[in-house]
Amino acid sequence: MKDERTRRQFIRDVSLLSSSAVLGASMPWLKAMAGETQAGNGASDRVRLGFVGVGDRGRALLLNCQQLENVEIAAVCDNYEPHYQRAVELTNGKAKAFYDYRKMLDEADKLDAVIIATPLHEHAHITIDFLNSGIHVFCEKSMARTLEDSKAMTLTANRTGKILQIGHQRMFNPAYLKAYERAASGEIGQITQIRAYWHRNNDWRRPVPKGRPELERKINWRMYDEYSAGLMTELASHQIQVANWFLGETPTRVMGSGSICFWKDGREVYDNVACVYDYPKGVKVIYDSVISNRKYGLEEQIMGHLGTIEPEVRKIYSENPPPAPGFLQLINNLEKDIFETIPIGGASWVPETAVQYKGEYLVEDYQYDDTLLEMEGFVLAVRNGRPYPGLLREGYNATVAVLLGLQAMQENRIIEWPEEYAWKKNTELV
Amino acid sequence: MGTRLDMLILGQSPQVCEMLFHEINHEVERIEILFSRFRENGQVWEINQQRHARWIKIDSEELWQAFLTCREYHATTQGIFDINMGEVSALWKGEKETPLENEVAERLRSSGMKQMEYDEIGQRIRFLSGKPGIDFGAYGKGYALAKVREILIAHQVTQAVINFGDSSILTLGKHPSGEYWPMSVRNPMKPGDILHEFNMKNHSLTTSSNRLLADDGWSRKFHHVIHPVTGKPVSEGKSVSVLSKSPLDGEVLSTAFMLLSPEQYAVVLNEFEYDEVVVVTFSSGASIQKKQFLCNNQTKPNQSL
Repeated sequence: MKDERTRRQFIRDVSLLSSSAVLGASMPWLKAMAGETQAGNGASDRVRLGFVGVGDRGRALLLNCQQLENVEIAAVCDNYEPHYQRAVELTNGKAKAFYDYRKMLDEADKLDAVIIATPLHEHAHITIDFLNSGIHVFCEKSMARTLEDSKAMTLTANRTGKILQIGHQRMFNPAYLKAYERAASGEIGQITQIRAYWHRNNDWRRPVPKGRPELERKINWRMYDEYSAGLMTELASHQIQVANWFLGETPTRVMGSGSICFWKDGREVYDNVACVYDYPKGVKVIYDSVISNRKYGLEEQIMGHLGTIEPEVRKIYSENPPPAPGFLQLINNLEKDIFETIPIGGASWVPETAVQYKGEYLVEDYQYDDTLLEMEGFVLAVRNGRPYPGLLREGYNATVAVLLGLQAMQENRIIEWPEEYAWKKNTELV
Repeated sequence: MGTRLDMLILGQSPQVCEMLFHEINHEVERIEILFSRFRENGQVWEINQQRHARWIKIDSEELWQAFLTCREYHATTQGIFDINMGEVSALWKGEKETPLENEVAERLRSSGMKQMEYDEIGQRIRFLSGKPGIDFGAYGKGYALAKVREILIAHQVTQAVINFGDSSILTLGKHPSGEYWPMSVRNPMKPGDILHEFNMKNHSLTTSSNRLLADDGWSRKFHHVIHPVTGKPVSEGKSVSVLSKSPLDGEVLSTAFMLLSPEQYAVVLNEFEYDEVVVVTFSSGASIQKKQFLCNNQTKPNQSL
């Protein structure tokens, strides 16, 4: 019930937000979604989905898609037996099940789109195979383990004209959309710095069945350099995407430092990362992530000379909180040369309690399940048969940025954004 | 001071205003740190962690002067103004729950300035029993406003309004279109209504009340002033506004008048420099039950409304 409420509320909010000139111009997918939300309930509009990879994230995506109207989960695929069995159970045996995505590609009937949530290093070839077969793809973030793979996926999507949507769900979150609108309207002034962090306190491991040590690398693929860029591709990707999006730019270069500082358990990826991204005109994004302390959780602190936005907590803060209404009246009267009594005094002061200016909320307090919302967006795009303009570029640029960040850490040097991987607004990736 | 600080400064360049804003802000923050009982490892917080009977050296001259001045205020307000009631008032924090009588009585026995002993030569204080509960709330605010005025005067500012969260307002000079700054105090029980109008000219205006108008427009009960004899807050709705030249006197008076009985008013006022005191009590139905206006005999004759 909760999800149905959020979904309906989201559609309402998207309709409202899409009428904003700022959002309409910057995020064409919003306008498209607002226009398409009422359509698509006819039998011919039924969307048949396949799932490749039904691990933790794949399962979450599948459950979300089961809540969408006029969507059929027609096929599932996983090459790890427990996940395969889980996928069969989740779909009550109705979806055709496969161990190999190639078989699914050959044998599944008329799939409209696939959702890929495999380990990172497998994203590229699976995505490219499906796109080349004329099937739309939703691929979890980050795009791929390497720059080359990310670019190849993008070029394939552009060439085939099929949808390739990357799982950066914050672009579908009304709190972020509202935040973007207010930042773009100039309310927080010139953004000079974004501080973003994601802190957890756990070893980030998944249990390996007893007596099956050979499964360690398969199950804990996030620990190994060959398959994953660790915190950068798994966590930072979301937040660097937000930074790129709010700044309307991509970094020019990145410097960084990473270490295996706390979890010395044989893993190859850093458990402690820090990067500084330089953007045009001197703007900086400062990023860090650790998995040995969770006090500060996660946030993107978007700082302008007039204010700050913290979208994770849905808040906006002014550098100059408005004066008390009575005081404002006093100023207005002075400007108009009016001499009259100002109703200003009153015991509103609370002695020495920790009263602070707490900012204001961007949107009302209800939980947006932005994963559900992005799946809604994807299915609508599939139904319409067209990618949302600009959306893939966000996913691509976030992926390139985090991979360059990792490179800076691993090579211990400043890495410039390579020209051959540049995909700016209103240009083509070549 | 845990509150909004608005400043209006006239007749100065934007650069000077900006400089003054930062200087005043800085000074207010410094005073807040000095007097805060919430700031861990701050001096007041440290004092409140001490055991009774031990002498505590007060290193800060400013803090020591505050202790001495508050002792005088304690005497001139008939023992009503009391900075060592923090432990009792902590019992009254919850808005709905009333603490147990014996719990209040027990804390009250070891609270209050009667439990404090001063060693003026050694610049030390000690508490005869119980846990210290030093709270410089009203004093700190008045002291901060006095310091703000010093800064303004030192920079030749002649027209200004400084507003500490509406409950303490400091003015310099007069409104450009009149002979004073016309200000009124709002009714905390009825937003939109006013309790009294004041003509401010180099005055401070401070208001204490146990009914607060919150940002959401609703009035709330607030038990921040505890009677040092009964250990209880004032139960009836009450609001006290004081117009005075000294912000410190104003803060102490408005706090004391929340607890003083009418019979004590004249004796206490005799010890202070003030211009006007307005005491309003509210009936349970939120209407004004009684409004008393007391003004300095030297400017206007006493009158009761």
